[in-house]
Formats: sequence, C-alpha cells, structure tokens
Amino acid sequence: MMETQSVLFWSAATLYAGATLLFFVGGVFRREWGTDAGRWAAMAGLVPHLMAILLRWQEVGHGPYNTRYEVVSANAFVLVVCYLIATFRMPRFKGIGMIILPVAFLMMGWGVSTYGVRAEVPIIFKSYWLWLHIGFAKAFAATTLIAGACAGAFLAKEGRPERLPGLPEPARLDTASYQFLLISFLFLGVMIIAGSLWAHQSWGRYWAWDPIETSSLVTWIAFGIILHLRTLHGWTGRRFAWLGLVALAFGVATIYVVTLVVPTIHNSYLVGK
Amino acid sequence: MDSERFHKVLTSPRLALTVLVLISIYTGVASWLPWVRGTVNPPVWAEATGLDHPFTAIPFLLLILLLFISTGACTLKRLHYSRGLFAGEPSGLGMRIPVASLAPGWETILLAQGYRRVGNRLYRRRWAFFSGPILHIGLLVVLAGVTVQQGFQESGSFELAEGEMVRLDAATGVMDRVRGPFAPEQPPALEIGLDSFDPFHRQAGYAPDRLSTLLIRDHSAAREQQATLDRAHGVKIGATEIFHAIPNGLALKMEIAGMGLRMLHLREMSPTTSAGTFTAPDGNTVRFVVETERSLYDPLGTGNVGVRLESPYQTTTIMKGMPFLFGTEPAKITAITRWAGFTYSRSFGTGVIFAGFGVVLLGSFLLLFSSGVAAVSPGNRGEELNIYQNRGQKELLRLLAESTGSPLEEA
Repeated sequence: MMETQSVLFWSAATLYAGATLLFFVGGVFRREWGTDAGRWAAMAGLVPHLMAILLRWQEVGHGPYNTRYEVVSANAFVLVVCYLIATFRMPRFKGIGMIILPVAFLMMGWGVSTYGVRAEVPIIFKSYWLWLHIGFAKAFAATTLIAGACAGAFLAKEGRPERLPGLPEPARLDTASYQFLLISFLFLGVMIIAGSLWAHQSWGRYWAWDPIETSSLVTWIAFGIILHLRTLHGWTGRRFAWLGLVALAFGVATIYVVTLVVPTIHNSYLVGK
Repeated sequence: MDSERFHKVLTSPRLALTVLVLISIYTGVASWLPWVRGTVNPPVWAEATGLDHPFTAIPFLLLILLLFISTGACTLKRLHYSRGLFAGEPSGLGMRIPVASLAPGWETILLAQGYRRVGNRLYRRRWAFFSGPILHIGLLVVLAGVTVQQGFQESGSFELAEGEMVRLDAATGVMDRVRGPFAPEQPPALEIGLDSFDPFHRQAGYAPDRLSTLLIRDHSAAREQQATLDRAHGVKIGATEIFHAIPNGLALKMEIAGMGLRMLHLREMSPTTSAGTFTAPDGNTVRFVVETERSLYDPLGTGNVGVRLESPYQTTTIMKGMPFLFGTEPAKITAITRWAGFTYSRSFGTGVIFAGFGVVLLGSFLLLFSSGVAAVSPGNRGEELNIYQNRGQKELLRLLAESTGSPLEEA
C-alpha cells in the first residue's frame, strides 16, 4: 500500500510540475495551448493526488490533518481544486495557474519531507467540530494563496499589461484579488468560530489567547481592515495589491508558521517527527 | 467638544483603525509572553503593572471598551445608510446619468444583471445592503456577551486519586480558582469521586489517553450521576461542566494513626522520579520520593517502585504495608496509585457569545453578495438614473456605456 501511495503521490507531483511548465509556456511565450494544457494537467494531477490522500487515510485511520505530509499535501490539493473551480466560473482566470501550480508543487515538496511519519491523532480530535474547523482552514489557506497570487500578478503586470500575456489583465486581477480575499475572510471566520466551539466542548473555554488563536484573530482583523479600505475608502490597484500580499503573509503565518515556532494548542498539527 | 464633533471622532475610521491595530499588537505580543504561556513566573515589573495577566489588565479592557464604542457608533451610522439604500435612495457614491443619454434598453441590461423592479425602483439583492451592519452587530453581541460571561464565570482545577473524593466548595477542594466579579463566592457544591482512572486508555482510531469514571454528587440539587470522562468532551451537571485535564501523577494512599486514610499526591521530578513535600503530624516537613523502574508514561506500567521518606533527621526506605513513623504517628502505605487532574467551569452568558458568532458569520456570508439600487428621478437636465452598486459598479456602467456606443455622461 505504501508503494502504491508513493507512486500516486509522485504521479500527482509530476503532473503539477508538468502543469507548471505548460503554464510558463502559455504565460511567457503567449501560447494559449500551453495554458489550456496546463489546466488539463492540473486536473489530471488531482486524480492520483486524491487517491494518495485516500490511501493514506485508510492506512492511518484518520483524515489529512495530523502530520506535516498529510496537512500540506491536502492543502495543496484544496488549492488546486479552488483554482480549477475559479477557472470554470471565470475562464479568463486560468492564466493565474502560472503562480498557483508552482506553489502547489512546492507544497508537495515540503510535505514529502515527512512522508514516512505516521502519528496517531490525540483524543481531542474526537469531535464533529473538527470537520468544520479543518475543512474551512484548508479552504481559507487556499483562497488566501489565490488572493495573494492575484495581487502579485497585478503588481507584475501593472503599468505594462503586455508583460506575461498569459495572466489576466490587471483590472481583472484587482477584482479577483478582492473577491478571493472576501471569501477567505468568511472561511477564516468559520475556522475561528468552529475552533472556539471545539475548544469549549473539550476544555470548557472558548478562548484562551493561545498564540495560534491570537494569530488567527489578528489575521481576521487585518483582513477586515483591508476589506474596509477597499469598500469604504476605494483602495484599488497597486495599494490594494500590496495589501493583498500583507494578507497573504498573515494567512501563511497563521496556517503554517506559528504552530512550528512556538508551543501552542496546535502542536498536534503539522507533526514532523 | 460639542456632541457633533464627538460623534464624528467616535465614527472616524482613524479611531477604529488605531484601536484595532493597538489591540492586534497588544494581543499578539501578550500571547507570546512566557508567563502567559505558563513556562515561567511573571517578573516583578509585570505584577506591579498588572501585566502578569495582560488580558484582564486595565489597558486591555480600556481598548476593548473603546472598540465597543467605536464599533457601535460606526454600526449605527452604517445602519442608517443601509436603511436608506434599502428604501431606494442611492447614496452619494452612486452615479447620476441623464436617461436621455442611455440606450432605450438600459433597463433590460440592469434586469440581466440581476436587478428586479420593486415599485419605481430597481434593486439587486436588496437584503445584502445590511451585510456590513449585521456583521458589526454580531461583533457587538460577542463583545457584550464576553463582558457578561467574564463577569459571571468561574473556573478552577482539582485532583483526584482512585477512591478519593473531594468537595469543590471545601477550603482546599479547588486550585487555581479564577472568578469574575459577579461569580458566586464559593465554588459549586459538588462532591466528586474518582472510581477509576486509566492514563493510557485506547479508543479506536486515537492515541492512548486518559479515561476516568467519576461519581458526581450535586448537593445543591440533591442529584447524583456517574460519568465517564475523556479529554474529548466534558460532562455537565447543573450549571457546572467538568473536564479531564492533562496532568496526572503518582499518589500514595496512606493509613495514618488517628487520621485515617490520606492520599498524598506527588509531583513529577523526572519520568522515573516523583516527589512531594508534606507537613507531618508533629509539624516537621517531610518529603516522600518515589523512584520507578520505568517511565511514568510507559503504557506497560511503571515496573518496580521504591519509596523513601526524607525527614530533617534521616532518610528511610519504605515498603508497601510496612509500618513507619510519619512524624510521630505510625503510618503505612496501603497503595501506590495515580491521581488525575480535572477542571471545572461555570459560566453564564456563553450562549450569547455563540449567538454573536452566528450573527458575525451571517454578516460575513452576506458580504459575498453585491447589491445595488437604481432609481429614476427628475434632475437638472430632465430625468436622471441614479444608480449605486456596492461592488462591480464600474463593470455595470461599462455595460451601459457599451450599449450606447459612447462614454456615459454624468449629470
């Protein structure tokens, strides 16, 4: 089973790497077929990726929310899924795969560094709130990355729209960055509240200013400030793009950095050894 | 400062932004302080300034109060504004366009963009005008709920060894008790006994963890219940919830002449050494030290156990059942067992907080939908279309302009 899992994982990683190359061909050399082929390669990669996730789930008896490999691999999967859903709704958006697929591939690389680690989940994971909290955490991580990708792409194209022609036009990127940040704000809210209710169920306290709790609240406040600046004060374009990158930094810190740097209630997540 | 200026200050974005940034920095730093995370004792300067408990310190509470006032003032202002939009009065952010400059099918374009006619107005998802105020009302409910809950809440911890009972409202029943200013003076009148404790119980699909069976007697309501408790969920009796905590350790069950059975809880010094300092009946301080063959955390058990009694005068090795002098009184160890840690909490108002969470989420969800209003009214140059859409207005105006084949002219 381990060998099958490994083959499936590396198949997915290879397809994401191939998609990356194809998106670069499409984006840099103005080859529409490259962008389309990259999108198809990303879709194809989801199949072995999902199978690898499910096989690991079957092997360890719990979902992809414990070891670093499980978490990061599942987050990469959700990222690619969110990107593909966006391209079905907004076909002009597909060029952003030039940023999304390399990120997904790098995440796979990070995750595979702890591929061999297996860990049992602690008993506090015995809760229905787990599904809401973790599900929306993954959705938050993915949509924040996409919002940040749009912001970065805007800054790359601003003033020179002919640069990287495979990417959508700057106005489109500006709108998409805002839309994804709005969705991400909702997902983050659900993640925080579900986590709070879970903590209340297990420990009798809904909030204890733990570093990870505080980091997620500060991130939610930062997102709120950024969205206010857009909706009430008309911040668009370059200013909003830089804010999008700030939002990305907060999101990455909350999901990946805090729990690795300081002891928190989240230390049974992203387990690496 | 007159009331209008005061109101302007309260509703100013700058005040709100300042308060939010200060709260973010304060909480971000405070949550990382080592004494808040429990790794060290707070330094003297922190105790002197109240920053040994930063989240109940006056500066933090003042910031929260300011946040509540600022949010409340802004919410009232936006609610008024949203009501206006809902009633069909496009705001000053909208655009006034002479109807004569629009193509004849302009209304069809709006209908295709999701607008619907209500009376003499066209609306797009009218209900979503309230998304922002709803979210902020939710925040106010959460802040108010937290204030009430913190005022009435109390919590504490207690330890039990197998066969031991404790009354939470006894003088030494509870440790680390925290209570709000309006919480009851005494802990709940609960008597709790530990029937069994397994520190390495395995439930299917999970790592081995604690499992206890408790007998809980509520003396205030003359009821009793038995509960099996793990660290996944608490148990509720009356208004009190009890939870399984992480700490556990070795305990010595001792029979002391003239005092009956006593349980002495030891603290872990190392994985194979536990110790505790106690006052003997003669007033002297003595120390019990237990050395185990295997780690305290070994699921197979601790293996052979050695106990010694250290007093000011001598150190004595003690075997289970062997009589020894505990101070001046004969005693013997009848069992070496484990104690388990538990916490309890009683809080009023948590439901309000959770309701506030729900309202915040509802507002956040409604934010995903853009809303708009369009109304035709007389203007300086004939009839004018006054149109406002909170998101995507530029795109809508571009569609209207495309239908005329020329840029739109603002009235």
